[in-house]
Amino acid sequence: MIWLLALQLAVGPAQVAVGPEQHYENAKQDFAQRKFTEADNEVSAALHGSPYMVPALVLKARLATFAHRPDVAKSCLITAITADPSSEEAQFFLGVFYYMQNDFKLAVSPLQTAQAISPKSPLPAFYLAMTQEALGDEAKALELYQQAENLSSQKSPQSASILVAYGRFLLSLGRTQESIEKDRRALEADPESRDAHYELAKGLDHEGDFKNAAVEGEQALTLPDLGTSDAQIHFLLSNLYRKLNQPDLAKAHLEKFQAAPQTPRK
Amino acid sequence: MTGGVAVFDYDNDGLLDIFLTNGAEIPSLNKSDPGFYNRLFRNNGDGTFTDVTEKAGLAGVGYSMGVAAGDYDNDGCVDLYVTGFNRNQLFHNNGDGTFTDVTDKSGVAGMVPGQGKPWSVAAGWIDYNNDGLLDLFVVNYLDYSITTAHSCQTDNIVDYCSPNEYRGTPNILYRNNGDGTFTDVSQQSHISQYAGKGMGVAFADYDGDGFTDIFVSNDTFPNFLLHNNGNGTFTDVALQAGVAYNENGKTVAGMGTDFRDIDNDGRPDIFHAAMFGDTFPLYRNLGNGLFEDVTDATGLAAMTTRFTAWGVGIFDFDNDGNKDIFTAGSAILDNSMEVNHKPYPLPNGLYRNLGNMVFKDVSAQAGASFFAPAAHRGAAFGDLNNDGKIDIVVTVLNGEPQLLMNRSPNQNHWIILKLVGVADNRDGLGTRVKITTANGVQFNEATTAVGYNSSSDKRVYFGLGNATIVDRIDLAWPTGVKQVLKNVAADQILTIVQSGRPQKAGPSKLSSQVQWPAAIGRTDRFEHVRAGKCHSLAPGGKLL
Repeated sequence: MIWLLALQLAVGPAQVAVGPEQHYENAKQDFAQRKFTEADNEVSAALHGSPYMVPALVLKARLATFAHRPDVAKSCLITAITADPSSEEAQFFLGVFYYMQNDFKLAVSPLQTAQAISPKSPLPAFYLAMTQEALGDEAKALELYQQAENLSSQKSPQSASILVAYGRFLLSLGRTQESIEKDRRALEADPESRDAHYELAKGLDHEGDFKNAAVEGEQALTLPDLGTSDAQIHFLLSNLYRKLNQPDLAKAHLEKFQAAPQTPRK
Repeated sequence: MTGGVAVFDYDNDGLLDIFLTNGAEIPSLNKSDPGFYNRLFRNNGDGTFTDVTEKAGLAGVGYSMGVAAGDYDNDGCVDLYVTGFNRNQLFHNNGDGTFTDVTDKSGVAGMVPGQGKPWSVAAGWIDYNNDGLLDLFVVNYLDYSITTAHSCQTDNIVDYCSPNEYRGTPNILYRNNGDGTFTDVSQQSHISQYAGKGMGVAFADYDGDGFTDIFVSNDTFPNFLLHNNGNGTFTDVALQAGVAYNENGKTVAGMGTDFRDIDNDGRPDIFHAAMFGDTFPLYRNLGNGLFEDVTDATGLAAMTTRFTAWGVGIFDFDNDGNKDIFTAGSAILDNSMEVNHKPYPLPNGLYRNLGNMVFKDVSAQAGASFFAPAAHRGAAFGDLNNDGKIDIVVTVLNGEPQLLMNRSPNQNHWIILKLVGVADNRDGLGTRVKITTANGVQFNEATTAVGYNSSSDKRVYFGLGNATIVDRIDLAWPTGVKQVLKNVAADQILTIVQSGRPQKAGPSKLSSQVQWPAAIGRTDRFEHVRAGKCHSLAPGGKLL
């Protein structure tokens, strides 16, 4: 017994062997909780044990994107697709990666592959729509936005995001009424969408319905700031109240706009 | 960032010549080699040009950026102001094919008290105080020193630093004293209060109060709309007017700009180019000092969001009576592909105005050379062969400039007005023109300050569609003189010598019914008697 006790003391506390799968599961949880450093450590451990684990490679790529390491992200995604070309997740995120890098032409192929693998998923169609929009192919973009909308029939924040982007594209084409319709549907899908309230306010502004536009803008201000900034909303409201001949409110929002942090841009 | 261009008739032969700015050796910032000279090309009238730079004395010094053409001494010969990183120069046109550098004598070296010589980009000639003399507005960029500049990185790739890394600099306003000298009135006019990161400048009387206002497009900084208060001072009203930021309350990478009435409602509108992702904003003048961002509503947002452009111009390229939009495309960074994964060379853009404030992208149909990607920068506009169609000269960094001759195969009619001020500045800059034809009314304004770094033809262009007669031409000269011409034939370059007495001070509405006899001279006869020489004009427009 003594030799057994001595052995235990020599090796320290009992170690439970953790496999790559468990490391990956840990990484997923950390990622969901936005604990990116921990997630990166876990996913690296998973890949150390299983270098071609496709979900881990994809997660590593997503973490690398957050860390402004596009070289690592790209390498992981290409390794993942080499290991399993039928991985919808890897194909989709490679397409998203290229889209985020402004490599729109390169984004098309993996997104189309992802779409072919999972034809009922709205996300590949959605990113393809935005990619075609960026490439200037108006007709294809409209078709794909419509596909994405059709595929996201369930009311959710995700479907609301798709409708907001669709509406924003229609607005940029000067198709204001159709844009407003998409924004309204986005709000049906997610009444708490700040982006949807803001875009609807812009559309109504274009249509000359300043009063309801202001209502939407005020509503947007009450919602969490995830995309559209407070500054943007105050700026819009300032213009709307000016048009509504309410100079005090216009001035107040203008002052808030000027006081709000502006997003620096390059 | 160089690449300025001017189209102007330096030798008064009735043909537009071309002046191009050029950079310098770095870091010395000297034009140490003829390859760095600015260049003047004389229009031979047969589709060819001759380089007359050295004879004209326009090679220049320092790292040149932009150019502004204007007859500041009213002698009938157009002078040049060249902006630059380290040197600005004023060249007086001697009338014999040569120019003299009068920068020091005239006092327009572009220095800012306490700050030295800022990085000047654009400039423009404007009679801001309506005294009949062209004053000079100089647009400065940001506080950058080549000796202390640091480098920046994007994803570990070295690239140029964002303008956000630097402080802005104030612009300069020089008042013309009428004796060949200028006085820096930046402080007393309040211009120096506004430090920005200017790239483009354009002038128009946006509120019809009879005083020309100034729009400055700034790079990643709120634009300036400098309202001319009529008492020698200016106030920036861009924020209140709705042109400081785009519709989303964001600054954009403002580039070249034009300030012209694009919807023919009598109120000048504002357009400027920007960087990809921004869209190129079009601000419609609603009256009462207010503008509205109509980039989305006109369809321009979707057409321009993918591009970056520098030079711009609002002109009626197909003479159908609706002013269209041109943009000279190019990414900012020469390593744009490496940094942004977007190509550095980009095509030019042509956006046709369908007449209802909706635009159609016709760039790809405008010609293979028109649409060829390149590192475009400045663009200047004018009818180089006097066929009634507006041509474009576009500069290309480290490449040959593009001479885009307008061969539009339409039968639309046109009229080009060459204004000759008498009580007003000789070029007639700042004159508001309204024409009436069977197809309706149109408005334009005489200016050479167009686009990025560049200077366009001073003549005023109108496309007439199928109208063969201009029923009425109303001119409102800056000093208040109103002039009316009636039943003018289309398809001609018409020289209009100012005639009449100034109206009482106040708003210069074009709806005035007061008529004054017009002095009219066909360009061919008028130019015949004055070709090659500078001439002062006596009251009434008689040649001296």
